[in-house]
Amino acid sequence: MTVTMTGTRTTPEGGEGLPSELGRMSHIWAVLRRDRTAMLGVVLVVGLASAALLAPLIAPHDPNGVDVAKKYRAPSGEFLLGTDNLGRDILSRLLIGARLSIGTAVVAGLLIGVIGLVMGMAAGWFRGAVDAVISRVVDVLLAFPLFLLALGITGLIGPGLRNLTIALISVAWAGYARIVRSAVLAERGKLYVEAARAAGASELRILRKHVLPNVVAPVMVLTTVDMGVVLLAVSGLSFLGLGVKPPTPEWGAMLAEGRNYLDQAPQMTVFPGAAIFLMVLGFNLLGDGLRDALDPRSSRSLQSH
Amino acid sequence: MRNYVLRRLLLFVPTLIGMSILTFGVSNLTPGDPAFAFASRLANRPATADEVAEARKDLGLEGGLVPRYFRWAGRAAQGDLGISFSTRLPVRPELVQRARYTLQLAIPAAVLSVLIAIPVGVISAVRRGRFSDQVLRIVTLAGASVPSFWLALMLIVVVAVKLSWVPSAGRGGAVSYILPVLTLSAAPAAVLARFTRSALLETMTSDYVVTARAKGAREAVVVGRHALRNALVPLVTAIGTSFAALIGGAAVVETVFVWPGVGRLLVEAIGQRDYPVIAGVVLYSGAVFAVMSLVVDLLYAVIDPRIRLADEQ
Amino acid sequence: MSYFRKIGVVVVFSLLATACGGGDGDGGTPESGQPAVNQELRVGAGEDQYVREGTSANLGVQPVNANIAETLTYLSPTYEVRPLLAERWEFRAPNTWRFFLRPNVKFHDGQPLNAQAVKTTLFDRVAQQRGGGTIKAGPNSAVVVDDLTIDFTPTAPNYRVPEQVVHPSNVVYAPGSDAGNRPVGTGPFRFVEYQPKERLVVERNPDYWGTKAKLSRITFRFFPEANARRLALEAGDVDVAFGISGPDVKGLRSRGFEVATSPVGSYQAMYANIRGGPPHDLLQDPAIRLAINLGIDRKQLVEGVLEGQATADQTMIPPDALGRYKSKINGFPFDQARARTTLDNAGWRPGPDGIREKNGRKLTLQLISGFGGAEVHKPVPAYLQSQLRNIGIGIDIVERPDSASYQSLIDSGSGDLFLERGSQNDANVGFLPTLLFYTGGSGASAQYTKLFAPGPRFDQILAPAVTEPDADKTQSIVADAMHQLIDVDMVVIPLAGLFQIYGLKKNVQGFTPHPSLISLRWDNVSLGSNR
Repeated sequence: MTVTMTGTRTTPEGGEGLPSELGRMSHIWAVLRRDRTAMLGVVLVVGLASAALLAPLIAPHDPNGVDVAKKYRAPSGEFLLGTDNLGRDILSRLLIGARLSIGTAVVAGLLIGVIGLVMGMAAGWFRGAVDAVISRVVDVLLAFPLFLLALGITGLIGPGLRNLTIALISVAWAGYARIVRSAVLAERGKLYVEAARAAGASELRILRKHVLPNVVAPVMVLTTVDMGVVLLAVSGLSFLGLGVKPPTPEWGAMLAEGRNYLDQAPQMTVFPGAAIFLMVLGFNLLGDGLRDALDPRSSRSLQSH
Repeated sequence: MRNYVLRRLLLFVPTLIGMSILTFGVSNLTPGDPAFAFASRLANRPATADEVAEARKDLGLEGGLVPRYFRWAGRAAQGDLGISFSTRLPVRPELVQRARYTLQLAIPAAVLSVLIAIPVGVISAVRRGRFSDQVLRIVTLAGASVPSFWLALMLIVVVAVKLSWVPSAGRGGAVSYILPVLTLSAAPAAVLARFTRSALLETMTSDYVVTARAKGAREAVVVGRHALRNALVPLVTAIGTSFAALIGGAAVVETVFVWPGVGRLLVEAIGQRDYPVIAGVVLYSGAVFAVMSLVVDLLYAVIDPRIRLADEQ
Repeated sequence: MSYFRKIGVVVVFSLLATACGGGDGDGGTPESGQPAVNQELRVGAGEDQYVREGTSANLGVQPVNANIAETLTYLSPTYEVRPLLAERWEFRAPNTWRFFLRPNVKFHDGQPLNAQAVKTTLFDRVAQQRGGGTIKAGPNSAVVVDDLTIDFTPTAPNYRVPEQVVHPSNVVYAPGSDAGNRPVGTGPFRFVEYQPKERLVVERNPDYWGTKAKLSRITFRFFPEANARRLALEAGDVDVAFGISGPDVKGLRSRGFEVATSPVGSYQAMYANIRGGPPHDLLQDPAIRLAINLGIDRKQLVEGVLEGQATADQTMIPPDALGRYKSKINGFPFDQARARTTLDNAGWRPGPDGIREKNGRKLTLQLISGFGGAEVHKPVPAYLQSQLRNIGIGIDIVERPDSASYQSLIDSGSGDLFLERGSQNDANVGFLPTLLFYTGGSGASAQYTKLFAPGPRFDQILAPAVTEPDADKTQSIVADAMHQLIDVDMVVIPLAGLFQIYGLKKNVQGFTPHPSLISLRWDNVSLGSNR
């Protein structure tokens, strides 16, 4: 999916650095605050993330507390979301599982973004052999549907959440790299780069002070949205049985197990699925809001006159 | 034009080779012995040493990794994808048939998603900022956020089991296509709708559209003939990408609906350590993707002459 | 407008594409409003695992047995060996089995069943498999005595041949027929059509030698997942569903379906790695194995977790197969107090997190799930983990989705407890113990005995079973050996006895549930009215 390269900012001198970044951030925040749907996203993400952080404190029961006598209970006062086939409290499991799911999505999303950024910049800036190699690798990786390759690699290195994440990261950075590369290529030819070079700035400095800020924006948007994609991929692979080992309450794995008890305990399927949905929705809403905030043509953006 | 196509096809070859090496390496370095897996599944108990040796011979697993790769690659180049470990039948006919079954879901799903996405995207863009736009934005976002396996399960429980309107699983008569196609088209429809909206918004604020409006053209004409036409370029790419993903076979949806497609074939093959099938499927999806992107690029060049000319410099 | 034209083209194209490929004839369209007399049965079976080529080709025979081809002897649901194509048989010293064939039996293509056919399509075929199959057939093992009498001399002493040939890998085909594509046998049904991974269709054989089948046609549809099978049954797409999981039984019954269960034919058990090197050497201490045995509430496992769709048998071999000797195996009671004391006395004291420690080492064991794939064992590992935590043993669950990756862990000995499911598919009761735990002979699996062999006392007890001609005495010997294995050496920690669970529409009649799926017979099945 193509992303329009907007929101570029020319900085002829390039001496602005950190304080301006912060100022930019608060600008972004001000814009976001006015966007209702984006705020909904913020609420969802922050809400679920806090629940995840506080999980050990707020979970009403032991997530692994097996009590077969209490199985298949519908939502009630004692078990707000009901119990599963071994009598474990679903709410507590969802909360503890949130740490895994959200943590993985955030960490993986960030790593993917960072690796993609570095590789893309290297390819686009230095060109030549570096570009050739990286681009070929990117092509090969992009030719495989993400899911398929992650599936294969997990089959190779073994199941488990950590391996699954590694598999995903090692494949997903390619999409970013390609986008970053084209962005860098675009920037490279611009006048201010020539000017900076003429003024004697080093390659690295040009990269850091001029090119990077203009490239970061779309990557930031993509990263946020992609955290949702990572979450879906991780839960999908767990659903297929390649993720965590029991009794870890990862949301996708909970869904997979719930599939066997659709009759007796629909709560085992409904709630984990709803949790995944809400979290992904949150990421998407937030990403959308960021995109609008950074897009100069949108009436809400920073650059609006 | 011909040079363009030829050049693109040539670029495709090293990619394919890289993919084949990656596939072969990945599937062959997995831990565990496929001969044992095969023999044990056959006997439904741990296989004896004799049975394992027999299976190893039958499956052609003798010899080192590198010679096996070249043997496989050589045959694959001629179209022979080897024999499946689990069924002992040639891989290619089965792959072709399963791909056909996947296409029977992918094509209707792609069409349905486009049919839904474009009108929704257009309405959303035209009524930008208003309530209907807000609602549509949330709905499409929701559609893009729903886990497909969850949607599939919910649909099965409600429509197939409780209401008995359609069969619950399996590929059968026309009715059995409904749920899988619906499930498959949900996310792409949502994503494409959002994409249409943003692409359209971009073109609607561009100079020539503003000019057309200034010249007094009717809004529908402006949107339909100018904005949409020019939004078509990135739109085609997006459709191509989502279609390629659908063709790759949605492993999860096919698993839930027990559809005999390519996605499920891969999951099964990985579970059974069926190397030839894994390699075949991966090669297939890579080839599909490459063809898809070539088609898209060609469409690009046809739609927008500027691109064709620029690239030939 | 060109936009609409483009869309129109795409729509038309896709409709054409779907029409060309889809709706392939009759793949499973449910019949409705048919007269009650229609005797066409639809079965929801498991995964299609037919082998189509080579000496092990088995289309329509195994694991889904469509009764196309038959064996010399037949395994009854209570594990007795009954005559089928062989009317009787006798053992002639030192190592020959003489089978007397049933007269006037014809194959589906009209050829007669005779000793020559049995020699060619059974014994000579099996002889081509490496090791000669379980019956140990050699190229010269089978000798035709007369038209209906055949002698079989295995290449090594084998006293269990009649109990082994019940297994469908030993069916008799019509000479010259293609076992992988168009199987021809003597059974009550004959082959009609096969779509790989989709369905197998057979029809009644009107010239069958025994009671003719009541069904006119059976369509077997393949559903690798238990869920999908059950859903197909509930939605009315099939009349019989194999392998219903325990938790689904109640729901099915309440929806008006029948659930037929067979006698026990399989088991779920853990094997203890008693020969591992560090860090998997904890189970060398019998006190820990005893504590594990005492610390599992098998009654709750069977009734609560497995929903009553299992038995608390602690025998591993099906009790019916052991006959009157099954009581030689005692098993263990559920006694948490005694489990804790046992561990205390062995020097394992509870640590701060509840897991016991000794000399700075934690009592944490790795449970590998399991043979048959992790999926079939769920949710038992999580249950075991919580049970054993109550007595201070920590369990770390490692899942393996398929046999090959599970096997790699056995190869490397990387685990303490190995969770397995197995079934008894013939009447040779000594086969599994000999394969997995016996070091006195040559037929055992080296990987398994390396970890689990109980030792000389077990070997000593089991040894006579290999050379014992009398089936009854063999049962007794094996029962003694299982007593040693389970009660004394505690290498096998049985969890439950399992049986086959079949889901049926109410109008399916005459169905006899068999504990061994591959020996299921369809001769007496018919469909009543009221679909």
